[in-house]
Amino acid sequence: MTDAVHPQPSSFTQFWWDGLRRNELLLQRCPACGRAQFPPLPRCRRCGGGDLDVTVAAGSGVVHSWIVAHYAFDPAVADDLPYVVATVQLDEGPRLYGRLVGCEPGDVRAGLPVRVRFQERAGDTVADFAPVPAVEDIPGFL
Amino acid sequence: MGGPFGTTAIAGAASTEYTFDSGRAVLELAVEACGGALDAAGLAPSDVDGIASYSAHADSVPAEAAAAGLGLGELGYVMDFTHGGQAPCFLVLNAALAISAGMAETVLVFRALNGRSGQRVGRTLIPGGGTEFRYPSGYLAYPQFIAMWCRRYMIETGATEEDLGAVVIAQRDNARDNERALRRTPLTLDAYLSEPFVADPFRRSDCTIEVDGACALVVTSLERARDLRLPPIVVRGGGWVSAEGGLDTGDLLYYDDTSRNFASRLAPKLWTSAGLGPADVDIAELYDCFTGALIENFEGLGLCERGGAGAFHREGRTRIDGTLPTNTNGGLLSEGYLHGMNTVAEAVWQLQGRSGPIQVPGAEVGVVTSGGLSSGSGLVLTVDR
Repeated sequence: MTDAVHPQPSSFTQFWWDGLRRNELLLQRCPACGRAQFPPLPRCRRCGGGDLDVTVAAGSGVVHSWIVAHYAFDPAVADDLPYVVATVQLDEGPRLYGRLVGCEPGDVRAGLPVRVRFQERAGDTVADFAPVPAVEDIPGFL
Repeated sequence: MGGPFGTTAIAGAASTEYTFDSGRAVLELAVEACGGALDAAGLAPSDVDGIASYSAHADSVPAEAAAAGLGLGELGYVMDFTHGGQAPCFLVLNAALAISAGMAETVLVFRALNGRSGQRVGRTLIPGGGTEFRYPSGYLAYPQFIAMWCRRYMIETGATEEDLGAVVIAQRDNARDNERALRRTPLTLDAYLSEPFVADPFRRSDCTIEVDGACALVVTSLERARDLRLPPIVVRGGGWVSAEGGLDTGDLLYYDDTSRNFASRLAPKLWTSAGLGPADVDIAELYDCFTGALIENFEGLGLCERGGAGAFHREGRTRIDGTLPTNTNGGLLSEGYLHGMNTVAEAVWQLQGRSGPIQVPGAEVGVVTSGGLSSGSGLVLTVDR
């Protein structure tokens, strides 16, 4: 994988990557206006408030939009084609991007309920998402 | 002099040819285009006292280097902006502001790059900004970013892949007689639909074609432009908007409604600044790095009803002989990706009556946009009347 594809955290985003390694999806929350936000910023995007708290997201949300990648813009993803990247709207409000797994590209739709699936990819822990209930999550199903 | 609207003008425009491999340094391309714009206007290098340019990820040369290459004298205004395709209308506006403020009298605005044989913005991975939250998921490049906006537009409006195809087909038809355009072969819907996806919903023809080249305009006071060689094209209105931006241009996570891009936020102030509206427009030259960007620009400005851009194009209304000729040069999709500087130049040539085989007869009012995501700029240009 090329260096550019690896996350390069900054002083205000390192906590997010640390959280992923603990299998926690972390959001900033503004004590002044109460809103959760992602991606991390030095202050609240909505009201400019500082001293942001960090909360653990439930990890569930719905698909807001998606693309199906059919071209490898980096050699690192060539073996993954085709793959789906979704913008997921979390229950807490913020959106984030994630690979959508456990779902054929043709079955993706807006509003599809999904849940985070922490994934090791090239040495980094990343947040993928899968439809709920995913087949593997159904007790007794093999 | 008061503000820039109605008191400043574009006096001339020129470009190099657009190629896949110029074999020339970016500075040479810049100087050729700038020199061409001055020649068109009937100006000498000694008449210029300001210069402005823009880049995307450090892919061009400093404006002052072009000034040196052109043999310009002392400058009262210089600008090196970033932002790629969001910049061109804004830089014309910025030059007009400098002129109306008395900082400069005559300003060159250019874009120059070896965008095909050198650094290709559509395929370049740039560390920093919001990329750390995109790249690890394989969400890597502009075709994918704007495809994500376009999918949301399709979800919200019910627009189909046939609607995207209608835009491609209409613009390709406009490009047929444009000698600068690199894609001039008419496309059928079947041929469009049989193309492989790059980033679904975008196929190859939904994406612009990266090129080498340069394009330049010269901006001056309307008073001075009236004494020059070509009809002045009046900067009647303009504006910039940054709406709910994030960590970089590709970051859409803070932008609430990605089915409507910056143009929908810019439109009220753009039309108000000009004292004109969508019904007054003779030609529209709108930023179209991808079909989805064109559609959100078109509808954002109120040029058709929400969700109606596909049908509008399918009905032939955007053709040279249509009711609202749009991207008369075939757009960035057909002519090539000069990051929207060529979009502004086409508006100037149309309003000056210099577009040759693709000329819209009697075009007097044009609207131009720059940008496809959460921020961008626009201009309303008119003949001198």
